[in-house]
Amino acid sequence: MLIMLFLIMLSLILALGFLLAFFWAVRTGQFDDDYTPSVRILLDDDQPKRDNQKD
Amino acid sequence: MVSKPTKEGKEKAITEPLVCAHCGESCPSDDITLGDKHFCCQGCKMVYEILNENDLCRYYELDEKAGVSLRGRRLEQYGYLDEPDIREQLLDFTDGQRSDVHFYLPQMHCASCIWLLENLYRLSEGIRRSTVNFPRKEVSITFDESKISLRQLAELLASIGYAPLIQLSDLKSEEEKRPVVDRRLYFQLGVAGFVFGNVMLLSFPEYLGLSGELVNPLFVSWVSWLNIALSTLVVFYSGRDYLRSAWVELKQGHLNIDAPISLGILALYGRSLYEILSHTGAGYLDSLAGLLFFLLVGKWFQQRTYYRLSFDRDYRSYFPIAASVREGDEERSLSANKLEPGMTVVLRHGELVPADGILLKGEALIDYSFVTGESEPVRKYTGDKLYAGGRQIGSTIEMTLTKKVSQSYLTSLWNESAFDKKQQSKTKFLADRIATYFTLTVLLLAGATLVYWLPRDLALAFNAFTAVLIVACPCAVALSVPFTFGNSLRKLAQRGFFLKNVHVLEQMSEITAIVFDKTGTLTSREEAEVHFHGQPLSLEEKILLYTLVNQSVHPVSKQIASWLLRAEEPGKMKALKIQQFRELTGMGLEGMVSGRQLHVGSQAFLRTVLGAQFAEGESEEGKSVYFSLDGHVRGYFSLNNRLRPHLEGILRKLKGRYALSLLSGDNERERVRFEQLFGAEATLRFRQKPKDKLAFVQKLQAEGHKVLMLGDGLNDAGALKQSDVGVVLADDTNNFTPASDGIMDARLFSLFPDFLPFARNNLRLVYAAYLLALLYNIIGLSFAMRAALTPVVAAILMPASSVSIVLFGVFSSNLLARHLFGRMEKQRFADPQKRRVKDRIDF
Repeated sequence: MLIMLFLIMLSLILALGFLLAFFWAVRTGQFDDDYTPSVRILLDDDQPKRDNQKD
Repeated sequence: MVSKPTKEGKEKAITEPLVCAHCGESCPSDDITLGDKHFCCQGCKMVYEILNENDLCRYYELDEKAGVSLRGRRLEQYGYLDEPDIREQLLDFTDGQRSDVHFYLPQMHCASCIWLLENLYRLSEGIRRSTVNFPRKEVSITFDESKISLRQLAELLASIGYAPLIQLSDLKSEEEKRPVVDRRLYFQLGVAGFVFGNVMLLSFPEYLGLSGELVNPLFVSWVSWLNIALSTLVVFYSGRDYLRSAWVELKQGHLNIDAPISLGILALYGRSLYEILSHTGAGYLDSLAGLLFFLLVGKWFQQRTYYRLSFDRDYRSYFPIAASVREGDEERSLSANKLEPGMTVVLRHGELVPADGILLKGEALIDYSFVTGESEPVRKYTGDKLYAGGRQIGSTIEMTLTKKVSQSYLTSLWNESAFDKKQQSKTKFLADRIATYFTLTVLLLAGATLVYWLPRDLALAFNAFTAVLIVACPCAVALSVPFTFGNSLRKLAQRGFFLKNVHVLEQMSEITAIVFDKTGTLTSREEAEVHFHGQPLSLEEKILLYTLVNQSVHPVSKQIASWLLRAEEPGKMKALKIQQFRELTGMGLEGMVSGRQLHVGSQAFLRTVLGAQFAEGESEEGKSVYFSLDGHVRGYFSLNNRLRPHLEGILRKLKGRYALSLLSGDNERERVRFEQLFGAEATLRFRQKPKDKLAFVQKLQAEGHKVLMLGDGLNDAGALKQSDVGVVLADDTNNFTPASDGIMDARLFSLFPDFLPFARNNLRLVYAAYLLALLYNIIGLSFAMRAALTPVVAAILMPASSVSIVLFGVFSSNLLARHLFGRMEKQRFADPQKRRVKDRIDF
């Protein structure tokens, strides 16, 4: 039965790890703006040609 | 492409409409070009040049209509940002070189904006990084002050079309600078979710009946202790706001919705502790954690908004942050809260009078429409008193201040009693009203159960008593308002109506009287109904006239110019070269265009200029502006305040169902017109000062009405605050709006009559949800009063009721919105279709 206790503690520590990860995410402001990042990821960094070169 | 039309070609010039390469709007003239690109104004061309030089033209590819038109916009003055104390108060952080600042950019509107603003470092090497928060329309910039100053930074943003809006209320002292984001709810929610999951897993052996010989008693007690530790955390961390709020209200002799919730939480916690410690059972700790988790999810859902609007602005947000003060021959900017009586202030076109004072020199034409509701600008002479809040139109003036900003006439309005009152204490909200009866009923039932069982079995009596308290916890009641109203709030926001919080929706359902403000609300501040009396003007004459009026910033000139633009197809109207232009304040305009002499102005003006040649034209009600060409009067324009489109239909729908009134700061000139619109039963009042409007709302409330006030300007601020629901109608929701409960996009005004039934039906949905909750409670109570509520029953019944209430609330309010407003496509911020979708519902 001791193995059960060990496993429970293990799972609890694992879950606690996720909780702390969530806390960290909240604290660093990742939940403050849940819209802009979804657009940002679609914007590329490549340099487009200059307008007068294109013509 | 179109070449510059010659004089002969002008009459038949059916040119294809020219579209500005920057902002996508039609160009009034075709002489602003760069390569084969046309621009509507120099401002747009400049932005394009800047972006082109820095390889940022991708801006135009990402989203259509990315550019913000700069036509008619004055470049903002940011000289005051060089003042050390203003700079210090605006910066979020600085170590002398590296500095952080965030700006509010109202023009931000699409994905292109995000891209450009996050690529600012390509425009100036002093900028290290910039991050956009789109819902808040903010950009946070880290920059190097040795390479670019705060002022240059603001000017750079303004030069690419995103002028930062900096207001007096942005100035913060060191301790006010702490971030205002409240993240506690996320933490509480995280803890509750964590505990809920774990306690539920740990309780599984109990559900499955795995006690006795199969399970080691040491293990059982171990798990129980773990459960206790976890639930203690959830009760006193995640649930502390409920407990505290209930306690605070109880001390004042009130019961709010948090009272029965707290009662339920404590009953669950206490009973479980007792059972575990006395080894009589496993307790209901999983139900407890689940309850708090659902409650917090509801709270989060209710607070979650997709728009950032400020509902609590006071005069400080309206006033400029600084004014230019003249000392001897020198001018310097001074922050507004440092202005003292006796100082000389210089005001340029479009600037606000910062504090009450006396006009020293210059031709003052002050637009008070926002402050007093008078639609016509007022002409002031040297020595006249100028009140704070007016906007100077035309040339530069100088004034001496007689009061400080905080003591001016306008700001004294904020000392009215209406502003002291706490909105919350005015009415008890539905959930809190129900809570009183609910708590008392629960206590009564619990007491009755106790009395019934006590003579029979002591242990059972205690068991049944606490079970009643547990199962009757108003979780479902507490959830139905957040989810039903919270969802409806979002539905309204999609239709251009933004409410401050869910309680406003509740208040809206009880409205019996509607009060309208006139100027800016029912009539447009800028546009006018223009009629030309005389021989119809030819296109050539219109172009001549447009060239002349385009030179002036006077509202009447602008109204005629915009009428000319509207009257012709886009692209046809253009400004030509003008010579000998003169603007005579209070009189009119004159100038030479294409060798022809033009005069536009008042009757008196034309009479002086033309002398005997001037034939009297009959003047109707409204304002008349005469137009003469080469010394011959061509006719006159009559200008009337332009009504909001669809106003007649809106009023027809509201008539008879609500008591309607109109309050106006204007004179009675338009009484007849509005009497026809409003009908005989309505109350129309003119020449109303801000305090009269406030008193009128109070009078209605004393008669037992629930008042909704629809206004826009600072002059309505008192009345808006006093009303049960104060709504601001705004042409641009980013502009200044006085404190209110809701902000409505003026373009969607025609939906207004449907909003009130929507609110009423929403309330019915909440009642229906309450009935559903009652059903669950009856089932639960039937278990509890028989002392048969096992942890398993509780663990099934409570989440089931919560989830079904949530689903009912969201789905029913969705259906209601669709039924009342019709189906609507989902709008997202950067959706390129957004504008088109908006246009479609935009009549």
